Amino acid sequence: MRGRGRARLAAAALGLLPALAPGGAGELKSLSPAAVELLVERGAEPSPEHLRVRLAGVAPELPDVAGKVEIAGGRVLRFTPAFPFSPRESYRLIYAPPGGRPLDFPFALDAADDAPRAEVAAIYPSGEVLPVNTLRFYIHFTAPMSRGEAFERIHLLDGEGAEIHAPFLELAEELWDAEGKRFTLLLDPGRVKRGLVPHETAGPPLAAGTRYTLLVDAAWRDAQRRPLAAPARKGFRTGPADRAMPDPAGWGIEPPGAGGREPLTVRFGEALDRALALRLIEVKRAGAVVPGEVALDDGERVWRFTPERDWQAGEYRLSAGSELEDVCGNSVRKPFEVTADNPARPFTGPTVDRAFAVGRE
Amino acid sequence: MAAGDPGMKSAGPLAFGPDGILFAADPKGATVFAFATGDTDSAGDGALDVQGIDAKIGALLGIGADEVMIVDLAVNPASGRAYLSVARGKGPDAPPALICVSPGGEVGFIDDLGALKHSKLELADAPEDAVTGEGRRRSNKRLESITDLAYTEGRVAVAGLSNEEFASTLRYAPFPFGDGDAASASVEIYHGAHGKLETHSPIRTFVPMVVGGEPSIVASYTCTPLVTIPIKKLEPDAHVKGRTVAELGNRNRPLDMIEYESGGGRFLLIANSARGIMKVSTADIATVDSIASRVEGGGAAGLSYETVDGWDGVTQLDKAGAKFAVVVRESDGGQHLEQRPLP
Repeated sequence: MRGRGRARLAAAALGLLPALAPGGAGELKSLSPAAVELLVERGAEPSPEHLRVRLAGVAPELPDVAGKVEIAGGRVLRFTPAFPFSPRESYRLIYAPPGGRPLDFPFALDAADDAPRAEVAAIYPSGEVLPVNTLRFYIHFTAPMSRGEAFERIHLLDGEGAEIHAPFLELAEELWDAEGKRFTLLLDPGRVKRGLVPHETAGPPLAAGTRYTLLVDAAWRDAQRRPLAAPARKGFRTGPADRAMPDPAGWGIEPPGAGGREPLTVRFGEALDRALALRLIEVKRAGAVVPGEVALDDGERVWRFTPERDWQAGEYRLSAGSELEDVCGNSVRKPFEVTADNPARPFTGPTVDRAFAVGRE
Repeated sequence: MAAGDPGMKSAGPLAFGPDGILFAADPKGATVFAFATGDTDSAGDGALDVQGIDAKIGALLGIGADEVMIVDLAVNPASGRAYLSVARGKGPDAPPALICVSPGGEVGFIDDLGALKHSKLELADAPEDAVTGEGRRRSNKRLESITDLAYTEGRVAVAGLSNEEFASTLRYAPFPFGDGDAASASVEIYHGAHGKLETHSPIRTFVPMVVGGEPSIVASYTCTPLVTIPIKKLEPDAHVKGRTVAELGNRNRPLDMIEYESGGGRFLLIANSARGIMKVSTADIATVDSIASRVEGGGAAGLSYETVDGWDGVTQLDKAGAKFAVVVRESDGGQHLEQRPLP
C-alpha cells in the first residue's frame, strides 16, 4: 500500500480549523497506512472508547471502520485499522470525549499517482496462424491488475470487426498468476469440444480459415484501479485443427558444443503452450537438473536453454513433463478429446525423455 | 485444533461442517482451514436481508463498495448466521476478510481469526506462492483456482482448476484433518460427451446428495452436463467419470448450487450467470438413463428443469433452513444479501 506519512487536512473547508489549532481538543499527530494518531489536548484524559474512524462521505447508517484504539503513551490515541488505510479513500476521525470538545476531521493518505499506467506486455500464442481449435490464450500485463472485470474487457472480433458472442469460458474466479500480471483466457470448451450441445448449436468459437482480432480494451483497471495506458490487439487467422498429442520423440534437438554456454535449441514442430513449455521442460545430466535459463522463440515453436555453467562433453537428457500441452490442450500423454481412434498414450512415467550428447570441443 | 494466526493469504470458497465448523479455502496459500466458530446456538428468526451489503462491508473494511469482492456465501445450519468470504480489494494481494451476518441483518467482521481454534489441510501438489522471473527455469508448480468446497460423509471435497494446464481436480480428505502436509487424494474428473468423447472438464460447483441410496456428489461442469459421482468412487488418483444426468444446454455458466426439498420432492437450485436460476427436478436422478447419445435439436435432455423468474443477478446462493434460500444479488450497481422462500 503506497502513501506517505503526511495527512492532507481539508479542515479549513469544513470550518474546523479552531478545533485543530494547537491547544484545541486534539490534533493529528501522525498518519501512515498502518495507523492514525491523535494527540489529545493537555489536561484531558485520552478516552479510547470515544474515538472512531469512518469512510468519508458514507451514509450515517453504515458502520465505522473496523480497528482498535489504544493509548500510545501520554496523550496519544492510536487507531489501527484492521486493514491498512487505502490511498484511494478519504476518512474521518471522530473524537467525542464526554465533557470535551468534539473533533471530526477528514484525513487521507497522500497517494502519489505517478507510476506509469499498466499496459498489455504480450499476448500468447504469439503466432499469426493458430489452429481453429485453439483452447487458451495468455494475456501478460506490465503491472498487477484488478480482478473481477476481465470478461467485460476482452473482445473477440471477426474479420469485419463484429464481436463474436460469448466465445470464452467466463469463470467468476478468473485465472491469474500469483502476481496478478498474467491472465489465462480459455475459449469455451463446451463449444470447442465436439459432441456437446453448445458445439452442435452455437458451433465452435472459431471458424476455419478466418481472420480474428483479440482486443483488450483499455478500460481494464490495474490493481490501483487505473485504466490501462492503451488497448491492445492481437490479430490472427485460423489454420487446421490440431488434435495430435505433442511428441517429444519427434522434436528436433540441436546440441551445442562443449566448453561454452551456447544455447541448446529444441524445435517442437508446432506451437506449444507457453507457460507449460517454460515450466515443464528440463535438461538433466546424470539424473540431476542442469540449472539455466529457458526462452521460447518463433511463436512458441522453438525452445532454447542457456546453462548457468559451461556445457560438459557427454550425455544429457531433455525431460518433458507428460502434462505439457500444445495450444489446443492436447498433452504429451492425452489428446484434449480422447476417442477410440485417438486414445491417450499409456502412462510410462511423469516425463518423456530424449537423450542427447554434447560433443567434445 | 489450536488457536493462533492462521496466516490466510486469500479469500476462497466456504462450507460448513457439523457443530459450527467452518471450512474456508485459501487458494493463494493452497490450504483449506477448518475454524471452530463456536457459533452453535440458534441466532433467531430474523431475515438475512441487507441491501447494499457491499457498501456496508466496504465501510467496515475501509474501502469503497466497488473494491469489495464477495467470493462466497455459506449459511451455518447450526445457528442460521450467514458467513461471507470477502477479498478486501481486487488486486493480487487482496487480504481475506470473514464477514458474519446475523438473522435480522446485523453485519459483523470477524477481526481475529487467530482467536478461533483451527486446523488446516495443505493441498498436495500445490505451488509455493513465489514470484519467478521470466526466462528462468521454474521450480514452482501450478497455481489453482478453487471453485467449490463441501463437507460430506466425514470428508472435505475441494474442486480446483489449474491456471495453466486444462486440468481440474477434485481433492478430498477426511476431517478431522491429519497432521502436517496430509496430502489429500486427488481425483481427475472427466465427462464423457455422449459416450464417445472423454475430456477433462472443470467442475464449477457441486453439492453432496444421496442418489439412489448412495452418498454422492452432484456436480455442475463448465460445459453443459450435470453429473453424479458416488463418493465411494473417489479413490486416490482415480480417473473418475461422472454419470451425466442432465444436459443443461448452451451457455451453461453455473455459479452455485443447493439441493432442497419442496412439496415432497427433492430439487437442485442452480445459480447460473448466463441463464438465471434453474430449478432441476431430481425425482429420477438415480434412474434416468445416462445421456449417451447426441441430443436431437440441441435442447436439454435427462432431468427436467425450469428457469425461476425474478432471481436475476444472483451470484451466490445457499440454503437457510428448510424453507429459505439466501442469495447475493447484483442490481442497481450494488450487491444485496436477500432471503427468499425456496421456489
